[in-house]
Amino acid sequence: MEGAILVIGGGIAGIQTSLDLTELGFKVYLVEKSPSIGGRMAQLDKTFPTNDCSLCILAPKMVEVFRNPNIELLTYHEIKHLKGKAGNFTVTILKKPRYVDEAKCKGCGDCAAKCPKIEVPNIFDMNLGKRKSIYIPFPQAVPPVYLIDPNICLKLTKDVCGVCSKVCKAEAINFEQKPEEFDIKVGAIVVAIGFDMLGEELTKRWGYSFKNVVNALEYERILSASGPFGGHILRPSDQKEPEKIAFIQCAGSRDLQEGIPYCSSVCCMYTAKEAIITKEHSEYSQCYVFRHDIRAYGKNFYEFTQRAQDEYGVKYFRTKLSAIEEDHTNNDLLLHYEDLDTGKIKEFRANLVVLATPLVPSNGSRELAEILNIELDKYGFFKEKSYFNKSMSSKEGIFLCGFCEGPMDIPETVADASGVAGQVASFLHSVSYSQLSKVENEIEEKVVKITDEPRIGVLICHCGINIGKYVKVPNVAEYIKTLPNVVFCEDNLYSCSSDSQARIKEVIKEYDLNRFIVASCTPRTHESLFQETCREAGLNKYLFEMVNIRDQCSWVHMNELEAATQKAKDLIRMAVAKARLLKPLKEKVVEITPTGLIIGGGIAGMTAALNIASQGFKTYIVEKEKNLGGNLRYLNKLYPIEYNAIELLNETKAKIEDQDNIELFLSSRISEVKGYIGNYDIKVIDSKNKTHELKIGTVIVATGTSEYKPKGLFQYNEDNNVITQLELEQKLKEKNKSWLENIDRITMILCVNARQKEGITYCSNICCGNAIKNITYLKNLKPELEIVVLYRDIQMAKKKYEEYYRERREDAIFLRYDLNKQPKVTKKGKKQEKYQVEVFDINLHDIIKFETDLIVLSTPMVPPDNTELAKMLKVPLDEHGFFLEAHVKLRPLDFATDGIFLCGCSQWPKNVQDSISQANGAAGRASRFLNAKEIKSSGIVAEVDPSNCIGCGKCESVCPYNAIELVPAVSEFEDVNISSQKSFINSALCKGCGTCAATCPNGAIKIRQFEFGQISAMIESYFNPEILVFCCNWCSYAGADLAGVSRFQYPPNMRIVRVMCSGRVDPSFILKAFKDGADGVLISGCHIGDCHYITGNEYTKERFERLHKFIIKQLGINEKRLRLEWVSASEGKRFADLITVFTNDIKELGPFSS
Amino acid sequence: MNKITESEKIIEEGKKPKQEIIDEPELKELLKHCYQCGRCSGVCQLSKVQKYPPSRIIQLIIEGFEEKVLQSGILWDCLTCNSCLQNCPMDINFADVVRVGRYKMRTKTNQDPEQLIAHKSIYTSISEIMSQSSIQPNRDMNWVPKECEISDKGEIMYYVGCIPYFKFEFEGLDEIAISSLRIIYEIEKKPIVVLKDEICCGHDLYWGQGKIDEFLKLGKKNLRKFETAGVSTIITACAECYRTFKIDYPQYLVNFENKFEIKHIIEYVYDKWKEGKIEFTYPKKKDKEIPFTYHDPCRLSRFLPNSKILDQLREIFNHFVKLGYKFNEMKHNQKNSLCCGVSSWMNCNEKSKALRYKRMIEAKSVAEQLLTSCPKCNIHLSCIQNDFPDLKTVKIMDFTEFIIKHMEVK
Repeated sequence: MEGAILVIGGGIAGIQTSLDLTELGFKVYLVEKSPSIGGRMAQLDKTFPTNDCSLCILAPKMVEVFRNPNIELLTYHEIKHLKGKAGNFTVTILKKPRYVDEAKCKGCGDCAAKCPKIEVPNIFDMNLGKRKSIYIPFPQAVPPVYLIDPNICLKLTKDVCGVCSKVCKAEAINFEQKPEEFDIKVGAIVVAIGFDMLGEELTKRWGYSFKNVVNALEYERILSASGPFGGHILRPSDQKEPEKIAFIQCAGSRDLQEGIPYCSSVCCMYTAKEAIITKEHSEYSQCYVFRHDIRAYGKNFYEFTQRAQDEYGVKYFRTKLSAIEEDHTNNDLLLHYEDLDTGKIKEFRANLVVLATPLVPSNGSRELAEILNIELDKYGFFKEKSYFNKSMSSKEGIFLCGFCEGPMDIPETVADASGVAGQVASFLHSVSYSQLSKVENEIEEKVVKITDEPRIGVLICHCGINIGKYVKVPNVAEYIKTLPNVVFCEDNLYSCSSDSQARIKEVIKEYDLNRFIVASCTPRTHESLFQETCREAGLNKYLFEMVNIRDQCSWVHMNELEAATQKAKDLIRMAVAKARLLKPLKEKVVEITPTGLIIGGGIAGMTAALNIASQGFKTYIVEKEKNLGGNLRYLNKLYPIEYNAIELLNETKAKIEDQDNIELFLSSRISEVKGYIGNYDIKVIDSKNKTHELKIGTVIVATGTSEYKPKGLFQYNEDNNVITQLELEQKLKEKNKSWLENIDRITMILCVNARQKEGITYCSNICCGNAIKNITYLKNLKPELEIVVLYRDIQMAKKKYEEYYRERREDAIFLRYDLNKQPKVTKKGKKQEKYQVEVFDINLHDIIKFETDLIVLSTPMVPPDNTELAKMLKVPLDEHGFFLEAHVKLRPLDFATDGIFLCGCSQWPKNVQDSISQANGAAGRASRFLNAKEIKSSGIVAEVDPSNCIGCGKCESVCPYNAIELVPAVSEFEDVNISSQKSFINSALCKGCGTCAATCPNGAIKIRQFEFGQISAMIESYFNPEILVFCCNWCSYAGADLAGVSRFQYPPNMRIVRVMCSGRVDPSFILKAFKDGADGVLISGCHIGDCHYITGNEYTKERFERLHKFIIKQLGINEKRLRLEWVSASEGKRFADLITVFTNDIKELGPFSS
Repeated sequence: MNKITESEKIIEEGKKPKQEIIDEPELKELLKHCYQCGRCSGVCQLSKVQKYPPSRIIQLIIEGFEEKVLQSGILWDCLTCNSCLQNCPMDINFADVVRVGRYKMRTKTNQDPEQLIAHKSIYTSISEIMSQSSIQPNRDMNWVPKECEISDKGEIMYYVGCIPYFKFEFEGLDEIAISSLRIIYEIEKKPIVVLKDEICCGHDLYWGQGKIDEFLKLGKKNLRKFETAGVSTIITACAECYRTFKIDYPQYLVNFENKFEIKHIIEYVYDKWKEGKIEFTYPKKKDKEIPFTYHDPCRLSRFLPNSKILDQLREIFNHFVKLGYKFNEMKHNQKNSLCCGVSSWMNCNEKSKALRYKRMIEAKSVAEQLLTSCPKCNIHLSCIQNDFPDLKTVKIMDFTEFIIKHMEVK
């Protein structure tokens, strides 16, 4: 068996699977046919329902893949052949020629700047933007390597030109490259090739060929700040701002005319998102959504669509588009439709139309299926092995992940990816860790004491001509040499080249250096390389500091040689000032107890337990009921397959019984939770009131939900013949069906007490399907039965559901009612219960009255009272009482607190299939730690100086990771002992954001590597120029990098200080900057909601506002001198503009101190 | 002997040395009368919570190890509470030694106590920024009660101090300014000068940070502002501002004491009471007398050897017996008062916490209300209440807040 995995497809599914797999102990080959990973998610502007900047949250993962020594990244590669079987596959891979040597290319872009070839449409921008013949797909592409389009390159087509090879200082251009094939051996394969979005393929009905009709992915690029129009919403025909924008949902999905019988599942949500973002971009724009059902299939999704209407004024029409025409005079679009709310036929004029066109299997799915010899389903998606295991393909050892199995949104994809990784790990359990690269540091680390005289080495990079041409690098080097403690300084052509690494190691030894600085490009991509080099030279990696003089000097001040040179000197001097105070840091190792605890024994809990136990770990299930199974016990059949719930339950229970690693605690509850990741001490009280003490490594919460009992609604509880859907299930399960005898008509009412403005506001997603399923079973029992379904929107948003729903339409009458016109039920008849139902049918636009014998109410799933458990685990609940995951988009199965995970209905109501998939995902996430046996925390963590801690507890309240605890402490003095509290930071849980340090009133908290003194030294060392900018590492620093990569020019009189999170920016830093002569200070972080540390920027904002109000304003400092701005990773242009505007403001104000 | 350190004595004798140049005497010169009795170490408030004996430091300096002492940084720890001077048989002003020492530590040994400054040096940075000539504050005046008229020119000034900036982290301090202004306005019944561009007195830079240059800048700036406003009387409710204006400014600023009459609001209230302009009343007799006490700020007690303020206060407080109050002294009172724990924003830590705790335990044992006349004492003592909720039974308020509730203008 091979301990390596092939992952095909480098979108979010492939990225997440690969990252999880390496953490589970496997080597990964990640093959992507396009030149960069990132997939569709990289193209999106924002993601719902949080409106996070898509690239901001994805890019760090892309970089992580790039840096991961156990992922072999094969972009621009394709799969050719497959031999062997599960455990021992041999795969032939084709390397397509880039005509650029990947090892040599530095991603500088000199080649593209000089390439004369007329620009061609850029595929990444959905052909709306342009690129050259030599190009990089998008600025944040990973790997950051250029390639040549052989179809248009003049050298390759006509053997003229070749200018790129002349300008490339790195000599990376190679016109001689040929396609190459090679074999790899892997134990398993994961297919994650995503989807395509239709456009031209649609029938003319949708008007896609008109200039101002775009599909949703094209519109994402239009919205994107790094897109073809720089984030301005312009219409393609005349690049003018459209006033009226129409969004057409179901533009081809759920449509047999288009050959797409399924629901694409995500369009309702992204349409609402795009409309909201549009309104945010321009308040004068008007957004109209033409919708059919609203399918908001996911956590808080329904509310999101409501917010679009209530808060942003997006107007929704309930209709399916009849026809679309173009007004030839101005390229406006005329939409014809019937407004179902009024019954009128209408025409609507839009300036721009955005089509939610179907998401279809990725181009190439069929070929890949043939090569791998796996089956496709009737829609062309990859076919899953069974309904209960959608991650397994039809062939053993080949797994499916993400959209290529069928429509799903990003969180589901991420959960799926973790689930696949978990299943692969359990399949190849015996060979995990067999092929991981060894990262053992054999070089002894040099001892560096705080008292040692700093001996600093500085390497300054020319980056070919990228820095060298715009900054006088030798001058800078001469100057830096004169600084105290700098004992070595040199400039070179490419600091990142391998001979440079050798040189760095050599000089560290030769000059006995104890600090090292490289001034070149961005630490976001290159810091780890240099840190590794320093480590190889025996220097602790935290004694390294990086200066970004490419993205922050040469590329953004291309016409200001002197100023850029001065700035480079300043930036390096600031780094030298910091470097003097750097300390060697230790990465704390925490051992992991190899056991898992699952709280809740429903289908999710059981699945998670089985997964973890099958990887060889002792697993405990604690279930409060006396039986396993949760809601599955009450279900009759599962849809859309004809499967008895009881069978699944029994099969699963049997597996649990067979599994020696699982220990069950039934009728039991958790009474105490202590400890942290890897080392929990948990007390369980069993049915006999006996307390068990368990040592636990990781915890999975799978506490489930229950059906809401609609007391008092529609005569429920008062009569026997008004029941809930789950009660109907149980009746259907009973052998005795005599209750049906006197029943001729059944009325099902959906959305009872759900999706309202008050009370239960959410859609619990699964009730529609459940109700529709029961139509069939009722009809089978009694064919003459009449069934009426009163519904609002039918949530059948999965691959096979639409057809399932369509078939059941034959067996029942569907009447659509409105939230504001609830059906009325009155009791009739005395002996036999009978009811009169009165409903306003929107579809008919009239009131319908009829009699019925049985009423079945579909009510939402509601969480149990989780408060106590949440408190014990120190994890949050959302406003509905469901558990709240770390990040709804990219960490759907994690809590912010490391070591605790969630799955199934504890997170949100979901069906059996999704619960199983999530449970496998959570198990995969949890077992990463169990497999690793130990975890290493970063050296960048917070530490408390107990003698300065006054125990106020402010730090504890701002920490999103529960890493801070107040512990009782007694301080003894000569004449008094005081018992109070001291803050204690668990470095295993700390992520190093620094919000606690900025919040601490007394400076008692140190953030290693970003210490008060270190940042202070940088500020002090900055004595000349005008503006100091604090950038958070994840969004704003990346935004500044993008400004650099994009060569957006801005004034040179600002200096950036990088911090991990804007939450680290201490008010004292700002005052210090002003005190020491700064003329302006800008604090920049992720947009609210996008914070990499969950809530860090919210505290930044709050602190900033207070600072402004109580200090800056009162001091008479012009408030324009201190700014707080949110800049995302894709807002390079905005960053440059911001600096320009800010600089101009400051110039107008004049110097701060005269 | 050095002139700066002799300040109090000079005032007694009516001599007026004026210095524009900062004097940096050898510390030894300031200490040579010390005969090493060790009493200072015994009374040192800090020595109760850390090993910090002033007498040994003095001996080191006398023996010629000034540089070592400076380099060790030990002088940053001192509370400058002046308990030692209060007890020194030789009148050695150790707090002044520390002050000069801190200036030297900063300028000569290049030490920056940034990490030792409480609240991460936010408030001392504010003072420094204010010392810059281009800075003209634009303070929030919303706290000014509607019924009080204020002006930027006039005879009597109410000097507010740093309270408005403290709102960045501390609540409820506006009451001090409101009560003070109301007291003055209700008595004077004419517009009172309150400057929108008032700047810091510089006390903390002078005593705590060793930043004499910035202190002098603030002094000169203040002088100009007072002159421009045309004031003759400056009233403050802050112990530190009072000491600074009363004693430290005249050391450096020519004729400062002749130009302006500096009054602490306690003196002002006392005088007006004695003049018969005000009376203290209480709407109805309480069933039970309320025990209250007063925490004497060091700047109003040990730092003003010849002041009558402490006696005036006691006279007022004893009068309040008629109003249903009972004035109880704490075990340590007046010139022997315990320290509030932090001075000049230096060294807020568990040691200072212990000092604050001790102070509040004393207060709790004798009173339900604790008055003081220093906003920072107020902040520090309130802070410890958060950690020890049982100390919350003592209500902390400023002298002025107490007075305004009971003052009637005749």
